[in-house]
Amino acid sequence: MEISAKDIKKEFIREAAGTNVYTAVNTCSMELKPGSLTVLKGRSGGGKTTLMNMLAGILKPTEGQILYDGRDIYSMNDDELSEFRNKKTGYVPQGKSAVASLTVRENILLPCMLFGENAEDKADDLIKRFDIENIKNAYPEELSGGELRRMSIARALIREPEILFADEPTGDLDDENTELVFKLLKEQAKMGKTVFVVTHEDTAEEYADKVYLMRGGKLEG
Amino acid sequence: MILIAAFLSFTVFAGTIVSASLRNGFASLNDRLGADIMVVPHEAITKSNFENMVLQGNVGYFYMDGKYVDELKEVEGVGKLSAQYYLASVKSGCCSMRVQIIGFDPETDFAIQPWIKKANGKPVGYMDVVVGNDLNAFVGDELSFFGEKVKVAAKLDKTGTSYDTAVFATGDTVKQLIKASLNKQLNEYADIDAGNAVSCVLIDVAEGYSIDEVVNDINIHNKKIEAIRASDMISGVSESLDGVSELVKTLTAVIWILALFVLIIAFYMMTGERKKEFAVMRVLGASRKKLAAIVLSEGMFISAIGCVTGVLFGALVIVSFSGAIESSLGLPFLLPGALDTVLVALISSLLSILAGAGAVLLSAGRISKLDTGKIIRSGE
Repeated sequence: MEISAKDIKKEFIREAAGTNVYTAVNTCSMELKPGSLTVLKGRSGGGKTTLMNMLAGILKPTEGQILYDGRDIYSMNDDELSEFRNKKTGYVPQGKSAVASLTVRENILLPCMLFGENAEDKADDLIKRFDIENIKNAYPEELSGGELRRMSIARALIREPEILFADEPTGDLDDENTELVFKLLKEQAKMGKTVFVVTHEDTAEEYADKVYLMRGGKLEG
Repeated sequence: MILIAAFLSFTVFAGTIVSASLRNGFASLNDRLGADIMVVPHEAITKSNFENMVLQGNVGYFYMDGKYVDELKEVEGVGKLSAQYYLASVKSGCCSMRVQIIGFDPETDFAIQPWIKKANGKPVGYMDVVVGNDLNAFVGDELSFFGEKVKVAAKLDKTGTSYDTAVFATGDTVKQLIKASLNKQLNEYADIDAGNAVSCVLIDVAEGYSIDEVVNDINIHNKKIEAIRASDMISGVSESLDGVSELVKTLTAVIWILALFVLIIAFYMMTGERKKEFAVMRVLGASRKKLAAIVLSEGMFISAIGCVTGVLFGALVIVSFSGAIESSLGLPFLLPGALDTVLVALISSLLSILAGAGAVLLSAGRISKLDTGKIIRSGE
């Protein structure tokens, strides 16, 4: 699935300051191609996550359009857009994102459970592929950062999405796990998925097909 | 939160059961009195305090000459009339305390036999007794009062009144026991003629006559006896019952509102703490409606578990402590039947689940308006 962002811009109103508007992402355009891994780099607070959230259908741009195969996703109503996110996209959020009351296996199955669907076999395949069989019945609080990240990627892939978004997927990982995560993401791109990664890791460029830089809300690259 | 929900249903269930038990006890007492007028020796309302004997279950006895029965028959307006004979045991194998023995005249009785027949099914024989529900005696047991052996012919259903700790027998049997108590010098009234003494005369007023007129007529013409309107005797209970019942209802309402308020805050705080989880679910494809439904169903589930726990605990407390509640309130107390209890349990559960759902609505609304992008971005 091809994604294109056309002249998108995001402004926020600072609630405390009333009408004081600040621009998180300046007007920009970009395209993401299937089978490619795109990396968005930049310093913290530069607007990377905001841009990715707009691309992922989580945050509506103030201006511009996000087109998936030519269709503006923000023209959909909440139910349609939610289902679209569930079935077409996978998202690896920043930081710890596991539901504490569910086991690793249940967390991986969560996107299917939200729509009352069963994907036990797929979950078991992913658990095997990501080498987390020994912790599948454990709860998130018992896991290391690397294990949580692998669980999070497995969860993003359970619906076999066409697009995969990952926000700082190696943020709290050691070198070994960082390499492992990027290899997993690259593998997904090679399988034909559109992969978009927000990171500040320099090593990410080794795996990227395209690199963008975000600086002060402006997209470069 | 399960505990708070349990507390909600416990309050509604226990409050309703206590109120219903008080109403049942009063109705049962009203039924058991079974007469318009009770005539007792004058000293019964002073020294022996007849009212406490009937209402509080204090044991006691007093006697008047049997001639009054014949005199009362002649009073205009007296319809049905029957004598009763009272005695208090010293001790008996059935009971750790003194029990009230009540004798009735099988030929004329209209107050006691109708409900004794329900338990016994046949007339009570000489030296047979029927025991109240709270006494530790069973059909076929042999009891001894003042050295006289009597046989338990039947055990009565629970009434929630002082009759639950009383023993009933025919007048002949009780007269025999009175004689035995006199022989053993265990009767305060050493000079009475056991064969001719009566304790109380129950009167039903004939149709067309006023109870007040009959009471006045008796009291004016007989200084040594006292006619009491049955309804006057229980009017005090009725007033106390209204007071206690109102108090229970008010307390139930106050506690319920407080618990509901705490539940609302608890749900609100819980969803606040789990904002990131809900934001992740939203990213994974949960619509705003679905998130609200998840929060609501969680609330309903917690309320359901809580209310079942609360009702079960309430039932356990009420059944275990009904005796203590009865004695502390000093009012007739009769637990509702199984069907009514189940109905109250169902209504209490339903109310608590609805309250739980209501309490979680605010949180569900809050979660459905979650700013996913902001939460995900800030990593809250």
